[in-house]
Amino acid sequence: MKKYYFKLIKSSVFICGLAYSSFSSAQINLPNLPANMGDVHGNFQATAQYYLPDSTIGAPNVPEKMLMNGFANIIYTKGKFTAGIRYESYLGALQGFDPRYQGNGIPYRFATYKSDALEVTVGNFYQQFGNGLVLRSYEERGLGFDNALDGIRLKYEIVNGLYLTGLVGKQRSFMTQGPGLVRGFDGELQINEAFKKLADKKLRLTLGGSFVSRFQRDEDPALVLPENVGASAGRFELNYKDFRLNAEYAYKINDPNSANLIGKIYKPGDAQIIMASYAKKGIAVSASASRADNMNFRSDREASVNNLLLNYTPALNKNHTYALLTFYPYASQPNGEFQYSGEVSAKLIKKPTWKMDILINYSGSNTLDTTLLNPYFDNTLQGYTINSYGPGKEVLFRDFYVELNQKFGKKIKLSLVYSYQVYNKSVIQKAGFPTIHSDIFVADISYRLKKEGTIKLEVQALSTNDDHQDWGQVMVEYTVNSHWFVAALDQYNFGNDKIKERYHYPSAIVGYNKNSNRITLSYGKQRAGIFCVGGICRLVPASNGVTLTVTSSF
Amino acid sequence: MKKLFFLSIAFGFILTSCDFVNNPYPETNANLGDTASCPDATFPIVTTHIKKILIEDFTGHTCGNCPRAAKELHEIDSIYSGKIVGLATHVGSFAVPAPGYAGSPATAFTPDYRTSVGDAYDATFGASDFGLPQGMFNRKEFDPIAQTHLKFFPNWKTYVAGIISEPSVVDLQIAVDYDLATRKICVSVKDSFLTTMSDTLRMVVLLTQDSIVSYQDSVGNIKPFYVHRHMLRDAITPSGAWGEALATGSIPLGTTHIKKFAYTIPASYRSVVCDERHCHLIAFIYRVRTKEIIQVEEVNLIP
Repeated sequence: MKKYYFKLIKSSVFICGLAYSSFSSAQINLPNLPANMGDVHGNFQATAQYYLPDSTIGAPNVPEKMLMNGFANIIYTKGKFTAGIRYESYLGALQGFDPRYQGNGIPYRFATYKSDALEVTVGNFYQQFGNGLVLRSYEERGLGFDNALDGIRLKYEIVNGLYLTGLVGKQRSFMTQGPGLVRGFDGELQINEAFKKLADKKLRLTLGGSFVSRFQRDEDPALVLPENVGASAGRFELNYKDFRLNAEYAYKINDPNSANLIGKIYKPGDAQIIMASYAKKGIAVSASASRADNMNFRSDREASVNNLLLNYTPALNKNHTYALLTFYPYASQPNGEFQYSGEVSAKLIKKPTWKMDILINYSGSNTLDTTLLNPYFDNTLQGYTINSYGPGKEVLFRDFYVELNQKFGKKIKLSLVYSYQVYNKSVIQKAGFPTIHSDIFVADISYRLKKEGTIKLEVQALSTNDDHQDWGQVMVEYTVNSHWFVAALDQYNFGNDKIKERYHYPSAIVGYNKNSNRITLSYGKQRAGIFCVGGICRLVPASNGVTLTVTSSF
Repeated sequence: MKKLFFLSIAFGFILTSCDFVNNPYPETNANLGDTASCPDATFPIVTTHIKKILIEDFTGHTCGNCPRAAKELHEIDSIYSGKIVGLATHVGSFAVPAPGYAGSPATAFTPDYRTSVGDAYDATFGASDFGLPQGMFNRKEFDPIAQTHLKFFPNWKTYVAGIISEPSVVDLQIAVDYDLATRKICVSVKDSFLTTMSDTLRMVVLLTQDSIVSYQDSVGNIKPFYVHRHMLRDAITPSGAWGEALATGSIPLGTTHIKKFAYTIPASYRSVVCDERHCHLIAFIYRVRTKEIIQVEEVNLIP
């Protein structure tokens, strides 16, 4: 029997009077394996975009006209054994993705098995120690971010509750590997598992410690560079009933690299993070703070932007989904930042005909309180000194956010959002721009139709005197049934001081879901902007064109 | 127990993977001098006779192409390790202090790295008139028609390759006695002629300072932590840039001289602090008629 997992791609013509798009058709034919032969599963995604030149909104000319990113994971499991590959294809990486993603390949392949308490992985793997302050190897496809390790990883539960992880590998850098050698070790002790007496206690405690070292040769004639750079971290997590507390401290030895704040500096780095949360019926409170000082840690000291990052300093600001709330997103600044965030959410009204809950979040980030050293007297290249532990004067980011959700009966849902944001563009994005202060309003109403389907109207406005001034967005979405949806939106820079640049960015999308397949087709203009996930960001250039996305899993 | 034993081995391996660096700057060139004190300087017997090349790099902190020349010099130095002596001479308009140059902070580009010795060389060889960067290789006059000793950096490796195998005609040895308290240098330079020649020769001893970190324009990029190397600071020889008379007429094989010079390092040169730890002494002998350097030697001030 044959299974058709997806059926698209190859070329046909899509005519809207103005565009063409390409369909592709491919098949994965898998014989039905006998039960004892294990399972094969996986997923597939391809995004193809046809670009139209549009000089007014600054959309660059794309000589290839059509670009496509695609990948497929194929994973085989049998009992304690798992092996898999990921085929990736960048037949012209989409605009906004690093052009070093080029061509086809299998950059990810692995095999892993578990034997008693020992788990062995060879090939590629992702690994995070604690909150990621010294090691976070992960993938974020939307960002074009993938710093997978390639090597050997051992996990061992040496005694009950004590988990050890050791790894040696090299990091992925687009279609190749970085020059640095990464060695890591992590130990985690789950107290309640380790001591039988404590197994049923309400207080649960986990302790952890990790160490990561990078080796890279010193080929610099002008400086003595450390070839082995180590970073270590200690952490704990405490749970008591509805209360959770998590904290981690990390330290990195001298690591002069080109991502340092100013030139290559030999100052050691450190980072701290603390997160607390409490949730009870109808109310949830959380607070967190973090601090990072010279913690840019990569497996190649010459790497830049998002390439070959070894660690991760989380961004604590609230993640937003509404478009105008993400216009000026915070990117975490491992070279120096002091972040804090607090959130309260509560159910205010709980009638069957009227339900209302509220969420208030405030987050902020400042630079550290530092003094730059005079280069003439800075004989050991420390770069700067810390005056005090607390935040410095320069504001990097602020977000005051209120969200009010209401439900009237079973049919009408209404969300109202207000947010005040401060965004230090010249530090976060590019030097030489003023800080942007913006007020953002969102109203989102959805109505469930009698028979089937939902209509949703979303109105957003962003008001600021800075950057490109005021923006508005209106979106209408109609979910016809569980298979089909259509949406249309227009983003409009109505307040631009330059009247000629008050552009509209309209777009429309139609999508179809069935079982594990999803196909969406969109056409429209997209403004140049920044797209972030968890404080890691990429720039997205303006574009005008047709996009086809196919996702499928089996 | 066994598990703990393996665990501690794993820890041991991993914790040693840390390189702590206390002094970021590498010390350059082998110290070939003798540590005997100044008054009674003794020199070991020279067994291998190497002709070294003095590469003079005329440069300036606002000269955007100059770091490319400095890089070329380093590359040549690593190719012919032990045979190259570098000297960076800051001259001309590119070396003039330029606070706030190209949008940099007002405290940037303020130091004045020029010296009267460097200005004298510039006046004779005309480097800043030609445009920086410019280089000279033992001050050899490669082109008698153009009447210039200067070479533009893309060709430096070619010129060095052409003269690197020349035989040595004279050995140079430098002995330094430096008093940390008074910053007084006693330097003794010994020459030993390996061939008979007839010429008029002079000897120059220069003080250079390595690893001065400050601003530099690098092809339009402002580098706040640029490492200025081999920077000319002053002449140790009392007569300055052109040194002291050494010999004239017929100089038979086996002739030796020992010249002694004393010099006290000031705290700073034109407000640029002089860090004695990064100082070097360069001694060379040159032909008065052609200015060609026949041998050069360099030692660290503090071995």
